[in-house]
Amino acid sequence: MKDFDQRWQTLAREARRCPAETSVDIPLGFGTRVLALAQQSSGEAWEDVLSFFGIRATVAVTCIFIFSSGLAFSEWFESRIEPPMLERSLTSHLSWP
Amino acid sequence: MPDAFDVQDCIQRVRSGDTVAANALIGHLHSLVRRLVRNHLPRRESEEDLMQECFVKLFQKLESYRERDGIPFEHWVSRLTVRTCLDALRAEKARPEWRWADFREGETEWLDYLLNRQAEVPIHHGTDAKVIVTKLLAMLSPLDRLVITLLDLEERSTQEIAQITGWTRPMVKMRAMRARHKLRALARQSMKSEFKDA
Repeated sequence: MKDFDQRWQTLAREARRCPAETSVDIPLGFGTRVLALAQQSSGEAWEDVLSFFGIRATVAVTCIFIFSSGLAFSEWFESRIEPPMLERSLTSHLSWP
Repeated sequence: MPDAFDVQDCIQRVRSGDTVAANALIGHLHSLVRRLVRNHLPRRESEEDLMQECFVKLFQKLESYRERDGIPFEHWVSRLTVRTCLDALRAEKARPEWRWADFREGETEWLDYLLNRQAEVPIHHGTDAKVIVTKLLAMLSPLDRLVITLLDLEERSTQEIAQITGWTRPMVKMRAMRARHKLRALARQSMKSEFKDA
């Protein structure tokens, strides 16, 4: 792999040396077209919201949601566990006058 | 001596609806955007169309741009342009599979040089090198192509790439390493087709 890397770097260096096509002029009416299109559509709202809050915030909210769901489920599950039958019968016998 | 272009002043004027300033901003950023678009252009997309898309996004998002100390406006533009190109590359449904017969003589010499330890550096013109690099990169996934182009062709540092892509520096290095592995596999695949075709 090291040999390939070195050879790739040589190829990349050679490719960089190759001059780029030199059409640097701005096409006629390019600016007008761009400004018209920019005014026409004012961006995608969901994309702006996502970039504002960021992926990290979304991940954090998902983690909190999963954690709180787990907690709520465990509380609900524990409340369903009944005391064992033996304990119940002993309690009833002992409490008998 | 001509006055230096005041980007921040121009941005303020664009925000207040000055179309002359908007055209001046396009003129100022045109060569930067063109260079980036050329390096990350999908096969079936026109350079001018993609440049237009980049500038439209730039003007739409200009309100959200905030000046930060030490970070030039051009960095923000580079990031936006690269992301737009990446979206265009992702939208491209199929990636090409080049076979040995699709390469010209000078290109096959470079391919042979890449994979054959005994092969010497080809003495052909650099155009062949550029063509074979473009063809090999076109076979990679958009993210792999992006990292190799930024690192090996545009010679950007891992720090700069991290800023442009939003990845961490170790992620940049790891992805570049994996992308080169894939590149080698794809080059081998193209070379093997020589024997299948024969």
